Amino acid sequence: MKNCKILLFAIPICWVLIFLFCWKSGTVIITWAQLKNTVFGEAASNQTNIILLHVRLPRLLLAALTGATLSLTGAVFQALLRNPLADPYILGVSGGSALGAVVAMGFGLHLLIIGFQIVPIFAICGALLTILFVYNFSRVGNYLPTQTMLLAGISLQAMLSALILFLQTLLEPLQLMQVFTWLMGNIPTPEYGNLLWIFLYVALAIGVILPQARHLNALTLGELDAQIVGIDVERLKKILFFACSLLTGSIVALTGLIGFVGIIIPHLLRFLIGPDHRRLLPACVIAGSIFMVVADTLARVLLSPTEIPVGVITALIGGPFFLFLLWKNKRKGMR
Amino acid sequence: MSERYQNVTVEQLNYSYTKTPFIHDLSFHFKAGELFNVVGPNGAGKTTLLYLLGGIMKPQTGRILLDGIPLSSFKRQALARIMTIIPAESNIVFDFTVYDIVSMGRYPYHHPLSSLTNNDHKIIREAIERTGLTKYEDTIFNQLSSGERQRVLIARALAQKTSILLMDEPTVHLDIHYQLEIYRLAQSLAHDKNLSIFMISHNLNYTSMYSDRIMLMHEGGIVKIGTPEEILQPELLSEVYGTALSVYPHPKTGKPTVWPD
Repeated sequence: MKNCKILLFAIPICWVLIFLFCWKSGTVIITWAQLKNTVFGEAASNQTNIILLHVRLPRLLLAALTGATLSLTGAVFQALLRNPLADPYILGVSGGSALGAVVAMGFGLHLLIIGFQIVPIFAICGALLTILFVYNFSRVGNYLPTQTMLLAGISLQAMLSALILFLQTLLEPLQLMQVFTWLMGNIPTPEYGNLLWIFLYVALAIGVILPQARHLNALTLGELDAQIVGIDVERLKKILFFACSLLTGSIVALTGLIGFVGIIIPHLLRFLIGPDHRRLLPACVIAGSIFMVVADTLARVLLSPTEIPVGVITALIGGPFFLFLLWKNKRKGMR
Repeated sequence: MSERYQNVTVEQLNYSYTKTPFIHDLSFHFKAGELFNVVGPNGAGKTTLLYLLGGIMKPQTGRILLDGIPLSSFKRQALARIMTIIPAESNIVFDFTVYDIVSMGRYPYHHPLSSLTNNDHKIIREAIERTGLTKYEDTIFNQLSSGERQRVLIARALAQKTSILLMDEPTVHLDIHYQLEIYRLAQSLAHDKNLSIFMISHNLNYTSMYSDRIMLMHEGGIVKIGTPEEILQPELLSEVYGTALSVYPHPKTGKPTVWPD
């Protein structure tokens, strides 16, 4: 218990230190003194201020939101679907959001004044439809067979990708280029206005999910067992499907398809702090956000001034990790 | 303390998975202080009936009353303080310990955000002790044998402190020692703690030894309800189970025991 108290202070301090370091890193060299001046609003050159406050900061904040969202959604899906390999990307939910977003973009809905709200809403609907499909398709009575679900998710993902490719052929060349880089998984530099909207969606969904932590514990034994200990499972599922769609859709609409974060972070954390969702879910928010901030900074600086899509970095870390988990599960003789 | 409900009354219950009725016109009751066993061949509708009684599935027609109050009027969480189910088996995907799982039995008593009290921990420990799991308290559930897992589910149900207990084949994975132990536990919970216990059983001989009343089911209906002596009749059992069976008195207790011919 004493350890917990130390961690309670140590974790936020580490988080802030890493964040500051990533804020400082980039193609344009910025010193700690310049960063300090900007943070405290002291005399700093205009150019430095613009780079730090209008280029890097909103992007870092979006990266943090993205990481928090993807890992939290991953953890919730894994409990909800009783499948340690579930993740919005693998189950095709990200793909569903992307299709929703592309449809909205294709119809030119992003050109409307309220365009910003339309694209994420289509993405959220896409996510919701996909998750409902995968869940109901793979369900056999009280059971959710792992293989069926993964296969359903993967085939759905393939179909959705095909549909997205098809829609891309209908786009103008310039639009096509934008959609293409977006699909690869990128953290763009958002307007603060957009960032605020996404923040509100994410905050709402997190606020809905975190109080369900204990219910998720019971649900990992199956729906029957959760009902036995007094949980209204149908209601819980509705809440979680909706909240996860809200999270995935609003993030995918801005950042495209970033894979495997929802697998890596929850599994590492379960290994470190155990499976209790009351600890796991908040830890996913903290660890996921900082993971993504670091991954995006790597994407910016590794081949600077060229940028690597952050989706490439997470997939290169996550792909092998996923295979490792499959291999471990195979040896454990998973159902 | 949990709300105490003494009597479970079932009136004209019907349930069907498809167009043909599966469970039809069931009417019976069981009450506090009695171990009420349900026997019958596979597919007789025993587990379906248990899920209907536990409010997991909703009957198409008919009513289930707890001390005269319709089951459907209880909220899930309130119901979990009144009755619980011990399922035939459960599996879990993550590494929860035995203690974690037994402590889930205390969920119905708390708001999802509040933590367990000292009293809860005392109840959890008692339940673990009662099922002989003390040395496995910190063991990961998935590493246990199926018999030990079954006892964890029983411990969770005990931690729920309900007055009605629905058991689905609770001894199916257990060795003879723990089979007897579970029947004795069920009997003592009924007789000493005045609980109402509904227990599905495949072991007619244990049922004969410990049960107060037996309900024989066949093809979704009730064949007969009565004492072990009334139910364990060779002609009746042979017909229902579709195989020739004989009944002899137990050499020591004189209770009827069932044997194949």
